[in-house]
Amino acid sequence: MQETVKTILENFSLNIDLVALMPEIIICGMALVTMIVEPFLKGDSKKVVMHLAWLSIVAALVSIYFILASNPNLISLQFAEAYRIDRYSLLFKAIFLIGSLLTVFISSNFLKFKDVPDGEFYSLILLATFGMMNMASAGDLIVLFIGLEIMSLSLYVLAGILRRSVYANEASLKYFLMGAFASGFLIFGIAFIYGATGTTSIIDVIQSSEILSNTYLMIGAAMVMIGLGFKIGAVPFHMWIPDVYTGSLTSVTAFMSAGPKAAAFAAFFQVFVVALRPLQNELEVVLWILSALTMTLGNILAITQNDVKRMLAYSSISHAGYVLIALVAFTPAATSAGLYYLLCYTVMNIGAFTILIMVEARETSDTNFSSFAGMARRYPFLGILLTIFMISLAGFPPTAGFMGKFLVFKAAIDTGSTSLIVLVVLAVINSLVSVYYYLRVVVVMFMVEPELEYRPINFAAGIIAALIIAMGGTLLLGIYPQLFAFFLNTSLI
Amino acid sequence: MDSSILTILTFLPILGVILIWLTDKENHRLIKYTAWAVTFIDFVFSLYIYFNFDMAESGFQFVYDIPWISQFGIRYAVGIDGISLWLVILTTFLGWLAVWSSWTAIKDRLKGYMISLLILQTGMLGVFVSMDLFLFYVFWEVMLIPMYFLIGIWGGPRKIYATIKFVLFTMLGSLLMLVAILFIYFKSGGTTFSISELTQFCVTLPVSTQMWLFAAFGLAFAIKVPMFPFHTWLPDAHVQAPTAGSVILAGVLLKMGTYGFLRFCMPMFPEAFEQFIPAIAVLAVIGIIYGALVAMVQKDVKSLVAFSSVSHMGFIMLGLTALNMQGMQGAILQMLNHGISTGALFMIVGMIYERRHTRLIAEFGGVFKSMPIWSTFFMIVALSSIGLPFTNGFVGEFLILTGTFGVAPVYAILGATGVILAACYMLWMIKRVLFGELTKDANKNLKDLKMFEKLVLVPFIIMIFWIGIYPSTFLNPMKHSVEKLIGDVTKYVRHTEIDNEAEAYVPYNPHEPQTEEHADVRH
Repeated sequence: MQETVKTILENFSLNIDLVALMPEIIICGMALVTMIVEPFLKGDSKKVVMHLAWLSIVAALVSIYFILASNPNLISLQFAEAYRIDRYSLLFKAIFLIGSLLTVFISSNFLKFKDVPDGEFYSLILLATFGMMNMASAGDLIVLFIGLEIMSLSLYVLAGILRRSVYANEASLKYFLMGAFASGFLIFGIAFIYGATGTTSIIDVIQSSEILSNTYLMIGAAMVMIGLGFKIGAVPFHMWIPDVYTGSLTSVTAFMSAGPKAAAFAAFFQVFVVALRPLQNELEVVLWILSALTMTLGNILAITQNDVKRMLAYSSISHAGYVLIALVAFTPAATSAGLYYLLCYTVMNIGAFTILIMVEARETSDTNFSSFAGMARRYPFLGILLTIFMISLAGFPPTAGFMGKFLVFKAAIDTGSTSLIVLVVLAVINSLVSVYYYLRVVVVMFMVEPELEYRPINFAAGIIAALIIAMGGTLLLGIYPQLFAFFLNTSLI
Repeated sequence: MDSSILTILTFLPILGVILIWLTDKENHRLIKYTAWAVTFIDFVFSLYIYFNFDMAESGFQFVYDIPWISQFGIRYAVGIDGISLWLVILTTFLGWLAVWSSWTAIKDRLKGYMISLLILQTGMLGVFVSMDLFLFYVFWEVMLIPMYFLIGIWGGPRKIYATIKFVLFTMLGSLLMLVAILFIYFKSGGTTFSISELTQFCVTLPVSTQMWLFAAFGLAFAIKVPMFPFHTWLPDAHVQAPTAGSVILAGVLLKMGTYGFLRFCMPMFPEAFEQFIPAIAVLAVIGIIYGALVAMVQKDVKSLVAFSSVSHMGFIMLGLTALNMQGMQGAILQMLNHGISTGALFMIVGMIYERRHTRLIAEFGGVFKSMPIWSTFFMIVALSSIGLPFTNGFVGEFLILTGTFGVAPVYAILGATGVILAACYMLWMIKRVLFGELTKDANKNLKDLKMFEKLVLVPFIIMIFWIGIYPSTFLNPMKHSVEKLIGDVTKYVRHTEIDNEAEAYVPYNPHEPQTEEHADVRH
């Protein structure tokens, strides 16, 4: 025991690579700084918090860029190999940061409109981002769990940040209860895996489970799958998504649908594609069913929604189903396709949410389909932007959504297995269904006349910045994926 | 110039989109003139290609090929051959006239309308010039969105239903095609999407695999054609679409289905195609007769024309199944004919709709007395659609029926009844609309065509007679490409006699029993 502690301490003092950890340091540090600084600011100067938040996120993104540029094939193990920084995890972190950046931009005016205090909002966003980064870099199942908890606890609070709204309270409580339950499954599963293999280190698990594929390992794997499946909203663990997404502040919903979901996928890839790889045959079957159910149910339920926000919530379930295809495939190309898909989804989904927020941020407005009636007549440009986000979500070329789907489907078919081809066929039929409800927004915007004159939309600087980033990303990711070559040929395995 | 001309041609409309974007949305004149000028220049460019086209060459010309997404071997490769040449020219021709025909018809949100038309044109041209399967797929899908808007915003009373139906039907086919494309890509080693290379690869696949792939591609194209029983979206879309939308839809979009069969289904999966020939031929004949019969009982002129499209497209599919020179050339020529005749019909119907705000046959009668010029145009175009000698329809249908008769007389005979039925529904409609007494007051004061409307229709009339009287202008450029295509397909169709003289093909006969003598000349 004493020796272990000693080695851990030695590792601590010797192996900390501060440069590789820079993104985490920046984000975590700024989360604390904003929390401390905010109470001392008054009135308009509270805006400083928001500026600090986005500046720190940009700084973290830049540091990721420099880390990757200086050594694209970096593999840095920190803290007794419990923390692994490599290209794959760095790119995942970039996705989280882009999601957080867009969230900060779209929130700036919306918070004032909804009367939400600035300080805790931004520091919670940063803290959640920090948790996600830990999940992506976890070299040990316990670190993964800690990251997940940091993220989840921040999200529970964020979901209920509209304190006076009954729905937000419902969302927060529901999310917390179900989330706590899922965390229980996850930690219990990790305990089982530890029991079966004698280790919680991801690299050690894979080595020992090759010899030892016993019942406890299977039980552990199943429980971890339930715990993480809850976070990505895979059917049948999706029940919380519609209510939480609808009840929360819209910018929080945008945030939750992008980063945390990607983080849960990062963990999914770490655990199932790397650590539990020897169980591939058994896992494939389960993941296949999970993927098929997730995309189908999410899509079918999305059709009947009358609220765009709720529709996007259900559709986010089905998108998780598409990414799960990449998991079923178990190949290096599939992991990189999943990564690319999550990047695309983050950009286009938050883009759609941005416009949703603009519509909602008018006096006495909501997010029903009727709020969009006639929008394109008053704001044709905005109408076209939302159309592009919608067709991207539906998977039309030449947008990001198509390229993401294309890569995932391609990776799945490249395995040559018939069951995966069947899954891809199921996925394209689902895409077809999704075309119907995504285009419904477009129909309402362009082809339905509003009852009254369309109430004006407020264009804030943050919103415009977010729109530019999201639109640029959606088009570039679709038309010129070469630009994101890093994402295309990075794989976990 | 030669290598970049196709790129310029394809993306010139996008330049127009940008110009129109910068225009004030109230400045309708400027918007219209810009769109007109851009589409006209595009048409001139396509004529430039025609005049510089090497007719002795069977492969692709004006090729431009650069890497696009190099990780996956996706290239931006465009080129044109004898088959796509006419479809490109047809597209620019109809695109130009479609803009012109909207001169007075569209008053609401004109800017968006013209932008949609121009993006649509880029998508359509891209489909015809793509030499890379991925690029083709991108253009194929891109085209859907502007059409969706054209029907959905500027359409008739049931526009939303019609436009959603149109998109969902088309998407169903194309998404399954995407799976097939990915499968071929994977099977071929995952290095290229080049259509010619993949074609060379696909023919080596076992027949059972080919059948699946053919079905996936074929469904996408059959919906687009549309072949019976996938045609149900077409009448809705046509009736609800604005005039220019109908013209483009009938004139170009439907041709993409038959073009897809020609470019992909047949050369890539020849053995599967052979297996499917009877099914396609039967469906084509059903389409010919069914479309004509349903057209006969329509109350609305526009839906009559829409159903006549189903019938005419059946002819084209029948011609393809003949797999010989006459049938194939007839089919390609008929694609042009249908684009010209039906496009003109939709415009003519649009002109009367603009005046009377109805298209119901019962609302008219004796219109010839109030609108003689319009009526004359209508007569000529209707007769060309029936296939009167010296008009374009005759040449195409004649070639198709001759080609088919050589291999499958029964289908040819059944198909020929379609010509008779076409005469029935068209002439009956003409009689009820144009002739008889002027009973309705509203029809008495109808103003005849304005100058620009005549100018729009004249090019159609010229084309109708040109193709009808001297079809060689149109048949010659496509000859070598068609020969090559037939050669490529028949090479793999097992019991077919191959003659080195492409002219003297002994047509493939599905009914002829296989003999040993035939088996000897297998390639």
